[in-house]
Amino acid sequence: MPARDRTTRIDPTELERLARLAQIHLTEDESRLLTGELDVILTHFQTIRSAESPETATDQTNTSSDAKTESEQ
Amino acid sequence: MNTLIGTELWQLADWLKTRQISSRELCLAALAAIESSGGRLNAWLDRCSKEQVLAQAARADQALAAGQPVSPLAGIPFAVKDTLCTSGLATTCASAILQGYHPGYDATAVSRLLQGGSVLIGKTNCDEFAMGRTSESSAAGPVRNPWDPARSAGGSSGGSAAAVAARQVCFALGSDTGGSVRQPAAWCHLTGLKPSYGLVSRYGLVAHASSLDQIGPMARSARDCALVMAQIAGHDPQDSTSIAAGQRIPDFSSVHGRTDQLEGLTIGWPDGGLTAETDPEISRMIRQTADRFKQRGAVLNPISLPPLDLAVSAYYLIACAEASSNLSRYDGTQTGSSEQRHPDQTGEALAERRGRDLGLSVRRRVLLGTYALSAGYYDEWYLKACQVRSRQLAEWLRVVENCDAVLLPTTPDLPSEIGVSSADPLTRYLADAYTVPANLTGFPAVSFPCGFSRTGLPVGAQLIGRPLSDARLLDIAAAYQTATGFRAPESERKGTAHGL
Repeated sequence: MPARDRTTRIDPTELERLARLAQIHLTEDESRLLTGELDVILTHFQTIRSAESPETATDQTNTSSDAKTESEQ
Repeated sequence: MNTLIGTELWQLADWLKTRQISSRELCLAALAAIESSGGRLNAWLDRCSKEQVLAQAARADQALAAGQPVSPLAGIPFAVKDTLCTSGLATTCASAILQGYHPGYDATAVSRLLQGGSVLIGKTNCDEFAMGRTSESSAAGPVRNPWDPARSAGGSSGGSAAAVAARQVCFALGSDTGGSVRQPAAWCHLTGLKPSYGLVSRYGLVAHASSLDQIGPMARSARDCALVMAQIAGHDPQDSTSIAAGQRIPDFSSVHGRTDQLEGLTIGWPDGGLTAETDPEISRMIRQTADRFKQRGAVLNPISLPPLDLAVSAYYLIACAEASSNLSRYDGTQTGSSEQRHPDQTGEALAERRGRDLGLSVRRRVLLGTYALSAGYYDEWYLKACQVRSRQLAEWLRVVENCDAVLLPTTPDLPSEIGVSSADPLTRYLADAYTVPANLTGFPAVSFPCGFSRTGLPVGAQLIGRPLSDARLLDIAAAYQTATGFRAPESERKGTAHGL
């Protein structure tokens, strides 16, 4: 699947998608709160997407087998 | 004030060995301290009964009296963070979803201490699944700081820190994924070590972020931490990420804190200053700490720190991604509040239970990790974070090549008031800037007390060293403590725990 361009902000629809994937129920109030919080956090973390890649890009330390799946779960 | 429990471990070990005190006497003092606090600190989640504690103490006293070869920590009472499995006591990670979970085994670090004759008192409160820095996300409520009960003891190993600082136990184990041993140690005027990745087995540690988690000791001094590390470090066939069998491990018996080693020591010092978020009072005290090293013959070597903002971003994306995977196994069918335990595995029922029994802080991180791992975002977020991690490792290796240790604050902030710090998650994440590099790189890092703020709150400094330099780091911190007295004697002078 091609990379998604995160030009749109985290919205309730996106949060609902994530909650479904994570199998976590959220109340309406929680959804509203988390939509705003995750949007702020990911906006701040955007700098990582433009960070220069090291030569050893795939040679990560302590590589965990617990977070290797790219999937819709 | 419980001066016996407040005594450093090496001294207690000597008294026990020479029969000047007994383990029974020590354990009764610990139980009395816990009893007299009346639970005001909220440091404990589950404890051994008095009979169980005294039975352990009796075995240690018998072994000591018979002159049997026992560990230097034999007979000494300790606490364990509730993220480590213990047979006979509940292990809940301070989460409702694990309520009622009684593992049938001990984590390797715990079993090594028990085999050495140490006396387990109980399990300590923490942030839910070790996700937090104030212990306020615990399903059992926040842990209060013995130095000011209106403030947090820090997190996530807040209960372990509070129990040691309030002189209820002599030392404790915590777990450190992004600073969770060092940060509460700093806020409670203790010494805490995040060991090199792999030096302590993670077997029996409930996984938060497997590539970042490490179990570490919290005690009154660096020398005490070395005594604990000597017992728990080493290869474990149960943990494939632990240090290889036969590989040389740091010699913790060499940690004596001799001050003459400070002469000629090279301390890396960030020439670009500290982060803008650092409390000016903390900046001033870390500068004073650097000057104290310099006055005793150390050389301050200016260094350029790898970008801390990128470290925080990479850390949270990786930690949350791993957490979303690790926590996916908790479905509430075997554990959790009793009325919810049923075999209904349908998606809706599962989501309902996870929504109800996982706290908001945990769900926030799981959703963030799910986002970073999900199709279409993986390359741009999770993979990028891994690349930044590799780059940070290379840059930090260059930094520690040119000095014996890097000196930084442990935290940019003083202990927060309970209830105040919970408002803004991003601000909380960014406050981990000084601690997460050691987890990203796998390097060892020790937090040690460097004094008190004008308002009497503890402040911690941190030394980060090259991989497997754990004993060296502790020895430097111990030498600093010998030279300055910023350990248990300082606590007594200031009057620890405000009567708690």
